[in-house]
Amino acid sequence: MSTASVGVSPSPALRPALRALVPTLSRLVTLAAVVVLVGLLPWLSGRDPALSILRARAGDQNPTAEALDSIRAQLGLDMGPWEKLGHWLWGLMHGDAGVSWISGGPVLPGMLQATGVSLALMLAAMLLALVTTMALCVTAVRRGLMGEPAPTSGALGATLTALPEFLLAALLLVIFAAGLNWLPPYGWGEARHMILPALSLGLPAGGLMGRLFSDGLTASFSERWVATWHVAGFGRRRIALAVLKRTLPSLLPQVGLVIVGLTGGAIAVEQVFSIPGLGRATLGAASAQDLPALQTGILLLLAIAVVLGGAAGLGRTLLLGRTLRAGAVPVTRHEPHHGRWQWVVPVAVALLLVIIIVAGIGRDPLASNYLRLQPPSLDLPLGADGTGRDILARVSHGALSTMGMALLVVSITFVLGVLIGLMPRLAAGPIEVTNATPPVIAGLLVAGLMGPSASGAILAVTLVSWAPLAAHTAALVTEVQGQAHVRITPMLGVGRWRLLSRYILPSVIGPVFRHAMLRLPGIALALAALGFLGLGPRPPAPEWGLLLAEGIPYLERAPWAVLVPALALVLMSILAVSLSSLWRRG
Amino acid sequence: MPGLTPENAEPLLRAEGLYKHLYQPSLAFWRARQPRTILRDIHLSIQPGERIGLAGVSGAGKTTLLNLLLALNGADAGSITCQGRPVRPASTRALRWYRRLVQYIPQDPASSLDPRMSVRELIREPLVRLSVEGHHGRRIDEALDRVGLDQKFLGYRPGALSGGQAQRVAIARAVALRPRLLLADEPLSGLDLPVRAKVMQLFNDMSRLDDTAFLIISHDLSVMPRLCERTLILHDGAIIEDRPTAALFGAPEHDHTRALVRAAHPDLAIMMPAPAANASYPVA
Repeated sequence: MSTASVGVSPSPALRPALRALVPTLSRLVTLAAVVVLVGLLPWLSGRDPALSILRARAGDQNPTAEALDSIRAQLGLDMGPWEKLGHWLWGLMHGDAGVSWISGGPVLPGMLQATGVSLALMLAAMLLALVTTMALCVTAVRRGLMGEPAPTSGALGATLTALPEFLLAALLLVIFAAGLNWLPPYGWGEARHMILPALSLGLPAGGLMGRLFSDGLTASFSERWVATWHVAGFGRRRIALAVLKRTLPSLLPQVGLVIVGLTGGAIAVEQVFSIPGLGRATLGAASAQDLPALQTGILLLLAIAVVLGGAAGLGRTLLLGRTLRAGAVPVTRHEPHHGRWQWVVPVAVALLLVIIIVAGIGRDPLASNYLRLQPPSLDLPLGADGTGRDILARVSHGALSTMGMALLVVSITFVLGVLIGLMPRLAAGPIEVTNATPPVIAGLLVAGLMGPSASGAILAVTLVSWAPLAAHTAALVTEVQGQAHVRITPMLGVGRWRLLSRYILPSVIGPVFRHAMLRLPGIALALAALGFLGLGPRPPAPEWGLLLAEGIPYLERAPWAVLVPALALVLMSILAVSLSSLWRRG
Repeated sequence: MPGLTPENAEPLLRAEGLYKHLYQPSLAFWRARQPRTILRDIHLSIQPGERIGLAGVSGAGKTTLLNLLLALNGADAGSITCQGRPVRPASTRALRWYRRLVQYIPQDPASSLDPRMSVRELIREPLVRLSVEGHHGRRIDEALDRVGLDQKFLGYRPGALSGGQAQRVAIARAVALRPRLLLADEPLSGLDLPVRAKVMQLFNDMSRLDDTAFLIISHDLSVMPRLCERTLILHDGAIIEDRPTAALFGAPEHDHTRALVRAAHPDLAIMMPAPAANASYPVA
């Protein structure tokens, strides 16, 4: 009891009041940095759009030096970076986001209209996710009220969570639009257009929230006070509400992340179903290098993410009130439920992937040796794609290149995560902002900066993937600092560097490294999503996301061109989810 | 004996007029935070070789005072001096001199040993970090000898030691520095009775042979008569008694002290008047 507060001595350089402000300052600085980065995009990319704008405005006019110069002056391209940034910010505050480099018209009105479409889609998806969540929690609540809480978040939730939005969208498109002809594949405006997109966006989110909630509710139902309330004769409804109130605060940050993730998912879904929303418009701007439109799109997407994340944070504050400020937030205890078979699924899936790689590694992924869309045969087990290339070879080589890229990202994020996690206060802002940035938005930013490429995709996924590792490192560091053998180090004269290198790092590195490796398949999926959206490696590189995107036009004539890469990605998703649930069980 | 020390001699450690406040979060963020006084006007002086007990119930301010004396936290008012030099929180390097003079034995010392280090590394760590001059190997052997541990344990890691052995390693780590004052936080709680007796014997020997001073902090008054010549009672942030232990047990002046003594020695209590109704009864 009594040594509980003999802490590591506070650094005398920072006064306590100032230290408390550091996280807030860090958040503000990070947000400002993101806005500045977006504002500097045109200057950083160093492109000159004068000629294309001249062509767009008057196709017959000669591109004379004067004409081009006047366009440059009009767009402010002759300004220095900071002057241009100020100009852009000033314009934004007055409802002017600049003119498109493609059409020459103002950017903002079209983007706002697209935002309306996206918000409608996200709202529909959220309602669907809510219904899914409640359906998945019914068993947990019923068992809890019967007094025998048991972990129930089983196969259904895991299956729903497993598929990333772009993959689910492609599969739904194949089954319900192309195969069964029940619903329209493209378009926007009628209610039936909304069904498939809302399903592809809402089901994964609902599955994830359902798992979180049924785990959390089960843990709360297992607490002793619930039994006391039962004995005291409180009604079932009252107990259920109290358990929900107990569970909600610890889950809201994660729910916030899931909802923010919808912004990223919406981009992919809009792309698959050709919905004229914000994501598709921004994606179009990125691939056309229309930087003013891209800037506006990214800012609007980030604004939606910040507002959604802020709403989740506000909800938590309102629920917890004073407890939060006192630093006494109740932590829901997660009972690890070990299954003897928990390793079977990941091992079996990994084996299947290895078989695919081994089977196709000797074949040529780039040569068009076969007929266009040749169906599968003994000689060509998985058929040929739209240009007569061997799909087995492409999937096999694609697995290697995607995994190689993912391995690189994991290594970089591991180092970054540990380094940044060692300074938790300073890193609060970057961790929150990058945690709340879907990889696709980072991909848009990077593609705007340096054009779409494999290294751009690696950079984008790295930019947003270090945060969970840093948060984990920070949590471990806090835990280690609380241990008695570290608390006594000030008395032994152990200085800051020795403390870090000899006492803290050795306890932190192992668990964080395992965590990083378990994220490998998830990162491979994020890279595939970027490839699918055209923000990653360029054709003809055999990359899984790209393979899927290339197959979609031939959906009806050659379903194997879509199904094979889709199934490979499904395998990868199952691997990711089964490993991540292993991780959460510890 | 402390009583024989001349009045004008500079004590080993002196604390004068220490105050410490704690700011609790308010009900709403726009209201002013309410300060709570944890320590008020603490005066304390420790002479070389003196063994002092500091007792009080949980929440009396023992740990807060300990953190001030260890220069981990700063006082809001008042000063601490050691051999005339001011003591306040500072960088590890700037406090080396103080750490060499004043060492600390934590509650549950066994868990204060890094499980990755061997006994030799554990005892050498403060010798190296605090730039102690002289032959470190000889100091390590001496310290082990002092706590009665065999040389063969030098290669062991804490996991291979019994609770009592680990305790003695933690004490050896502090002793190897040849400190003038040892601050011990609940040094006997959680120990079985034979180990308890050994640790008490060790403390008494060190005080007698090496002239090391002790400040022993405990919520349990029953350990004081056998360990300490002088006992201080901390109650609600203030020192309410500061007298030779025998005098304090014989005739407690304060109602709260009486309650503490009663709790420590139920058999003594018969001879004493019952505590007043408003005295808080300690929960041991």
